[in-house]
Amino acid sequence: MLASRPTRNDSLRWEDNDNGEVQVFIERQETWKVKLLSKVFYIPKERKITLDEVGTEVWQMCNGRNSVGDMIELLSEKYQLNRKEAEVSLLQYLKTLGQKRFIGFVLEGEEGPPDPGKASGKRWVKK
Amino acid sequence: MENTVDFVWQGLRLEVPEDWNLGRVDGDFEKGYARLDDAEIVRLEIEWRRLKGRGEALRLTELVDRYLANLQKKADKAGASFSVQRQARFLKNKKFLGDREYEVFTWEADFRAYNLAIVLEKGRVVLLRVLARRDESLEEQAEAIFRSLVDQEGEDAYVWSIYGLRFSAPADLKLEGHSLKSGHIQLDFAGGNKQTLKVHRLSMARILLKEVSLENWYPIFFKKTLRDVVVDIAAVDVHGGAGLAVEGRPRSRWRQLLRPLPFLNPRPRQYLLARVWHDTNTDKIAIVEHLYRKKGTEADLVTKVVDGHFFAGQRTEAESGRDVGVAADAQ
Repeated sequence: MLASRPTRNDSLRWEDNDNGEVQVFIERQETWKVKLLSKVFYIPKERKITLDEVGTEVWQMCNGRNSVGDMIELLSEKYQLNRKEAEVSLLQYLKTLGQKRFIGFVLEGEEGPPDPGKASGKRWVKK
Repeated sequence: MENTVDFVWQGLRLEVPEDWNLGRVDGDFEKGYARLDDAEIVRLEIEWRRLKGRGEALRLTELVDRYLANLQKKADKAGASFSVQRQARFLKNKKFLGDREYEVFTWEADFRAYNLAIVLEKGRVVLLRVLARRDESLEEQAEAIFRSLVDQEGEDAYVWSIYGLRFSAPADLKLEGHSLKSGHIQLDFAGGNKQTLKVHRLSMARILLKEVSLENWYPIFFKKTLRDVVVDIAAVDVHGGAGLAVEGRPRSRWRQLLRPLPFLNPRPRQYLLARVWHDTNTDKIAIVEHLYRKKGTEADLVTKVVDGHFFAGQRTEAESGRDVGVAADAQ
């Protein structure tokens, strides 16, 4: 796990807001339930998730080049965290992002994206 | 040995490499277990127990026999290879063991374990184990760790040191609960006269205090704890940094009559004394709270703990063979 390299889901749109925080935009799924409900209620076409300072930091590090181990080192150094503290929080956060399919993990030996943020055609590995 | 830090729990102190962190802890002063891990594997395990109420004291060798028999049984069940070397000779200098009853042994399965079983002066038996991969040798490191073992039992105050949080608390306060969440460590102690001492440490203080002052943050963050207390907060200097002195008194008894079950009181009336401060060097917020029932029984506990409380400075370049004294560090 520590050697794997998290990489953002290329199909997601994201941008920095005025405060320097990352906002991830998730498009509404066109299921029959949503379609039906949207006839009655207003359902926005996409929803926006704003990441906090640390979340933004992690998101920007998920470029397919930094390993989880590297990210732990960077976070523990920047926020003066004990390695274990950084590890537990980061793994939990990455797990959540992975479950929501915001990120995937490039495994050791696999090629990461050549230019982060652009479609790379790599195999998508979901953990 | 490389850079080391203190790990101190339930009166047992060890000096371990700084990248070995507490992974699991269980039990109390009389009987318990702690495990330290590095980034990849379990590195150290310590078990302690007091042998009592068995009539004739059990010999240490019998305990080791039982422990190894148990491991052998597990290995047989799993079909794994398991070898033991009793009376192992990897310690270069055994002087530090003194005339205490002990046994040094190693076992090898998926890992190699360097073990020290020892009866401490005050009666607790400790089994200390340093684990190494089969392709590495940690004999010197294991010896340095064994040598650093100090028992604080019998002292007036015990040092506690985990994840860089380090403080000393009076020995008569027993650890009642702990919460080792990432970013928020909390240790709760209970003592006579139904008093409670709570020590918190929160990480990433700069982010927590980004949009709010410490004075405003504290009552919001601890809203639940403070719901039955009327607090007065004053700015004070703590360890050369900005801090708060908090005094709390129980809310009016009349309020209780407004509760759904007014004659049941699950939350007793308590007074509160606390110090809260932001340690800018480590970017941590520390909180020491003393809750007590009767006025006049506070005995300045908060000041005692705060004065012996520090985060940094516990990192040491260990000299091999150095026997570390705890008393000097205890407030």
